[in-house]
Amino acid sequence: MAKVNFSKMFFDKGRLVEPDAIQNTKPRIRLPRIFFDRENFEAYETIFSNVMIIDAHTHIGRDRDGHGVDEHNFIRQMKMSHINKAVVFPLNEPNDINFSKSNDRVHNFYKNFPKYIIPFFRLNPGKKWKKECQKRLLQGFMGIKLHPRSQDFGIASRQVMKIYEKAEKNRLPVLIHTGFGLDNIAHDIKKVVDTFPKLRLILGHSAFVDFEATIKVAGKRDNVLFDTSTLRVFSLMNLLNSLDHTKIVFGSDVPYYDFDLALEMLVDTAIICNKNPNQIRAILGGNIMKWFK
Amino acid sequence: MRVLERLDTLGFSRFKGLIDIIMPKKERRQSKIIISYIRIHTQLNNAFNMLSKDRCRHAFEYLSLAKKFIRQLKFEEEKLYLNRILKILNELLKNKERIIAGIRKEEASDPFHIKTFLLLAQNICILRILKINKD
Repeated sequence: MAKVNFSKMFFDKGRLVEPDAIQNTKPRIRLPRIFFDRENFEAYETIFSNVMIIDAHTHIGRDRDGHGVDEHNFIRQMKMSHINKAVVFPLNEPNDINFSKSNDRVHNFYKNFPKYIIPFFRLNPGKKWKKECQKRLLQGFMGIKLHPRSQDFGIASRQVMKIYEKAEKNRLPVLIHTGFGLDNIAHDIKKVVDTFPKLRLILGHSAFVDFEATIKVAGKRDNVLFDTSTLRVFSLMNLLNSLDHTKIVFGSDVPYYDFDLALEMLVDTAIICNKNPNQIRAILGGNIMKWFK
Repeated sequence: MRVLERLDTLGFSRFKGLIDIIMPKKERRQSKIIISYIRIHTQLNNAFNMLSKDRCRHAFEYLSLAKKFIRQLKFEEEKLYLNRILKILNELLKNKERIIAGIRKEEASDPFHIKTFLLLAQNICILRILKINKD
């Protein structure tokens, strides 16, 4: 595919398509629902034709803070936003300390919608996680979600290192929260990636709380991906400009964020950062798909 | 205006025409929209920076200001985005006491995911500014 400088096309008014022509021409492919500027449809068409969009960071259930989304609405929103697949794991559910019920719910969701869901189970490293982990491995879950702030543990604490060991042994990716509520995490992440070089790690929210240092210790590791969920636009620009596109994966953080807005933000920011359509398509799905073939 | 044009000894109508050439109506409107989004973003940013034990109550004053400001805006083409921000603000303001209690209990706890929601609202503002600006 020829390399197109989209940002120039967008910003150089001399090269823009006539407004009347835009209004009279309909896009040939269906684009995600709202937020997308009609005048940019040519660029969007190139990016979105036959693209596999995989959202690497979503939840179902009900969080103890009251937020949540059920299976029906989740699938409805996915379809409206043209998301092909989503990595799904439980929210921080009340009255479910070791996430047994919540993981069951994700499993049932997966059984009902296997084409749409990549199921991850959530563990609480402080509460009898081994039995839960074994059960979910046998059920065919495809990854583990860990949340250091909600379950109150250190990223490289002794108990969690055992979970990483198990995950590495079973070739299960681990998605770990590295966003709000944490700081100075680069040292811990280095310890994890040094100890488990084959562990597949997804840094939820791209470690924006300690971004520069984390990039230094993990930015070039083969098995570490950075997800784009709930980043500021400027943090996303920083991420796209600092890291190779093969290390970045699309994430939304539904239900705290919208599929639409997350997608729009990523695609438009990537265009501004001069990423070409193939690179954007890789970020949208190609990069993470390699782990689930 | 007509009275002024009849007494147009200073060339007022020509001056008005000149303004239209220098900055056409569409661009003037876009500037107003951008300024509105900057104002909303500023209020949201102020609120975000006040999510600490001592100052979290003030954060909600900024959110109320932002809500009041958005309600005064009449940009039909931006309705979708402004309503989305309004919806976020309404949710946060509705849970004000719960959020304040949560922050006072533990500052880093991010009760009700308020930081994530403010960030979402801020991102809507920035994205709109970037897009309108390139038109």
